[in-house]
Amino acid sequence: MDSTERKSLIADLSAYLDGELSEQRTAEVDRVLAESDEARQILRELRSIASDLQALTHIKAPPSLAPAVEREAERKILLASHDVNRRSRLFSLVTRTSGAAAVILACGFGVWMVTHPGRDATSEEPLATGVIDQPADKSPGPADAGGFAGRRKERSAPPDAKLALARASNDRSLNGSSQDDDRKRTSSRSAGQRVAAATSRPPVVGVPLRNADKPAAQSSATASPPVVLGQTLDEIPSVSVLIAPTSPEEYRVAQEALTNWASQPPASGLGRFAAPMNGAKASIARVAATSAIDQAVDLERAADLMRVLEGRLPQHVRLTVSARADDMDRVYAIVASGPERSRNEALAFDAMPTTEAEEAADAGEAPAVAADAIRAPATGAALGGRATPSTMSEKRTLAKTSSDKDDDERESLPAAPRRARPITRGNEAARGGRGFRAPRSGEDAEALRRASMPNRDGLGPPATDAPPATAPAESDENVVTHWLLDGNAALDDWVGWLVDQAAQGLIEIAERVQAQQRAIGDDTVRLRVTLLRPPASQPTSAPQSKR
Amino acid sequence: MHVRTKKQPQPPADADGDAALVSAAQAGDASAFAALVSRYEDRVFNTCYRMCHHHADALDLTQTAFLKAFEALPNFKSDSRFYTWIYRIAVNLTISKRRAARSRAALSLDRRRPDGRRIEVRDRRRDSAPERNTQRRELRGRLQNALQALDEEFRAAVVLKDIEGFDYAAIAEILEVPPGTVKSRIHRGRMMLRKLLRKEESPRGLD
Repeated sequence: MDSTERKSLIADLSAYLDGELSEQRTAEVDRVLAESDEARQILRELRSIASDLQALTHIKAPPSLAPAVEREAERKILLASHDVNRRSRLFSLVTRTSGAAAVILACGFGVWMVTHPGRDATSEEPLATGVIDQPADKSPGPADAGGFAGRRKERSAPPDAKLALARASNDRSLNGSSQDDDRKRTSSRSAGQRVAAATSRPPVVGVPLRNADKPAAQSSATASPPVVLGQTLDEIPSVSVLIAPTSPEEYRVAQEALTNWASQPPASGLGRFAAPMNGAKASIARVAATSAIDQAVDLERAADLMRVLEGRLPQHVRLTVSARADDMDRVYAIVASGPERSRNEALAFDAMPTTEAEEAADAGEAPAVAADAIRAPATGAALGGRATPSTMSEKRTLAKTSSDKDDDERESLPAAPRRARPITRGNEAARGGRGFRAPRSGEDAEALRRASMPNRDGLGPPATDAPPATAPAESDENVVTHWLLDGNAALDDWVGWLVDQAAQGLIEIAERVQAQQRAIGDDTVRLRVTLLRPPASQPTSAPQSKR
Repeated sequence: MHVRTKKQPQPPADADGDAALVSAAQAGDASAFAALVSRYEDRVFNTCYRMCHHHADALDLTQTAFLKAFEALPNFKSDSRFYTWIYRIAVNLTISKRRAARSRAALSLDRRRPDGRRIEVRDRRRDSAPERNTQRRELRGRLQNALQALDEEFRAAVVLKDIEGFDYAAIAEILEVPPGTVKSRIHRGRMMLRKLLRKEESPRGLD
C-alpha cells in the first residue's frame, strides 16, 4: 500500500466512523488501522470529537417562536386573501365586461347584417380587420400611468384602494409594464437613473398598507416588532449629497445646478418639493440663497439631481438609514443581510466611545440646540472633521467615515457646523409626536433662534422658518445609524434592499410619518444637499441665511 | 431553557407524516403549518444556534426560515422531504448571515477615528466568558469555540452530522452537494476541530 492510498484511507476515517463506507472500503480501512498507530490515534480523536459534539446541550427554541411564526403566517394569509379578492374582483369585472362586449358585438353584427342585406359576410374581409388595423391608442390610461404619477395616486388613495393600487402596480411590474419599457429605453445607467430604477421596483406590500391591515397589525403587535424606520421625518432614509467644489467656477456650476433642479419640474412633472424639511417653505429662491436642499422627495426626484451632478462635480453621496428597535441584535441581523457589495462600508455598529470622558459626554446634558442644528446635514459634520461629536450617534458617524480614503478627503474640506443630538424617541415624544416644536414656556426663544443660525464660517444647513426646538437629554441607545460611503454605485442596491426588507415586514416606515405627512411613502427619501465653499477664494454670492 | 439530550437526535421517525401536513398547509390550513413548525422548531433552532452561537440571531434565523418556507409552500413539491427542505433554508440563511457578520467584524477592527485612535470594537458575537467551573463545561466551551472557527461549509456539515444526527445522504440533500463532498467536509471539519482543540490544550493555545 503506497502512501497516497494510505492517505486516502485515512481521509475515509470519518466515514468509517459514521458507518458510511461500503463493505469493501471498510475492510481496507480496517487493514490500515491494524497496521498504523497513527491511523488508530486519529480515529480515537475523531470518535472523541464526534461524541463530544453529540453530547452538546440541545437548545430548545423559545416558546415565543411558534406563535410568532404563526402570527406572521396569518398576516401573510390575510394579505394573500386581499390579493385573491382583488383578483376575483378583477376576474369578475373582466368576465362581465367580456360578456357585455360580446352582446354589443352580436347586436352590432345583427344590425350590420340588417343594414347590409345583399352582402355575404363570409366573402368579405374579416370584420375584425378594421379594428385590428386601427392605430392603438397610445395615450396611457389611468391604470397604466405607472411611475411617480401612479405612486402619487397610491398615496392619496384610501387604504384599501392603496392595497389594490399597490398590487396592480406590482402586477404591472411583473408583467412588463410601460414603466419597465421606459426603463429599457433608457440606455445610459447613471447613478441617478439607478436610483430611479430602484423606485420602479414592485411596491412594498405591507409598509404603506399598515393602516389597511389593522387586524394583522394588531395580531402581530406582540410578535417581534419590525425595526422602525422614520419614527420622525428626520429618520426616513436619506440621500445626502455633499458637493465639495475645488474652485469658484465649480462652485458656481453647482449653484446653478441646484437652482435649476429646484426650478425645473422632473420629467414626470410631479414630485416637486414633496415635503420640505425643517418646516421651511421650500422655494427656488431659498435653494438659490442657501445653496442647500433639505427636502423629503420621491427617489425619482432625488435621482434627477444626482443625474445632473454625476460626473460634473466632486461629490460624496451616501444613503443614511436610521433605525430603532428594542432589540438591537435584530437591527444588526437585518442590516447584515444587506447587499454584499459595499456592505462593509455600511456596517460599523459596534464602534463605541473608548474613553470615560467620552462616555460622560454622552451621558451629559445636551446643549440647547435648534431644529436646524438637529437637522444639519450629517455629511458636513462627518466629512468636515472639525465638528465636536456630542452623541454616540455622532461618534458613530465620525467613526464610520474614517476610512483612509475619507480621511484624505476630509483634510481638504472646510469646517462644518456643529451638529446636535439626533431626534430620538425621548425628545420626539416631548414634542408631542412631531418632528419639532415651538419653544416651551420660559425658554429663551431668541437664544434658540441664534443657536439655529448656520455656521458662518462654513456653508451651514439651511435656515429654518420653523420655530427652533431644544433637544432634551435622552439615550439614543436604541437608535442606530448606518450608511455607506461608497458613492453612487451601490445606492440602488441599498434602496432596493430597503424596499425588500420592508416587503418582508422586517422594517417599516412609521405610520405616524405617513399619517402626518401624506407625501411620505415607501419610496420617499430625505434629500440633503450641501454645497461647500471652494477652498481657495470665497465666491461672491456666498449663501446667506434667509432669516 | 437548556435541555440536555442524552441520545443523539435522529431524523424524525414520523417524517412521512409531514406530507399530509404539508398538503393541508398548501391548501391553506394554517394549523397544519403550525404543526410543522412545532415539529421542527427545536431542531432547526438548535442547528442555527450551533452554527451562529448567538441566541437572538438563531431565533431570528429560525423564524425567517419558517416564514420563507411558508411563503414558498405552494411551490414545494411532494417528492421532496419537508424536513430536509426547512433545514436547507435555515442552513443557507445562517451561512449567509455568518459571512456577513464576519465581514462586519473584519471591517470594524480596521476602523480608526478621525483623530487616528483605534476604535474599540465590542464584538457582540464573541462567545461569553469561558465557563471553567467544571471540566465538562470547559470542554463544551472549547468545542463551541472551535466549531465557530470552522468555515461555514465545514461547520454546517459537522453540525448536521454530529449534532443533528443526519446521515450523509440527508446532509447532501440539505446542503445540495454530492455525498462525496459531504464526506470530505465532515472529515475535514473534524480534522480542523481536532487541530484547534489540540492547539487550545497546549500552554500557548488560544486561551
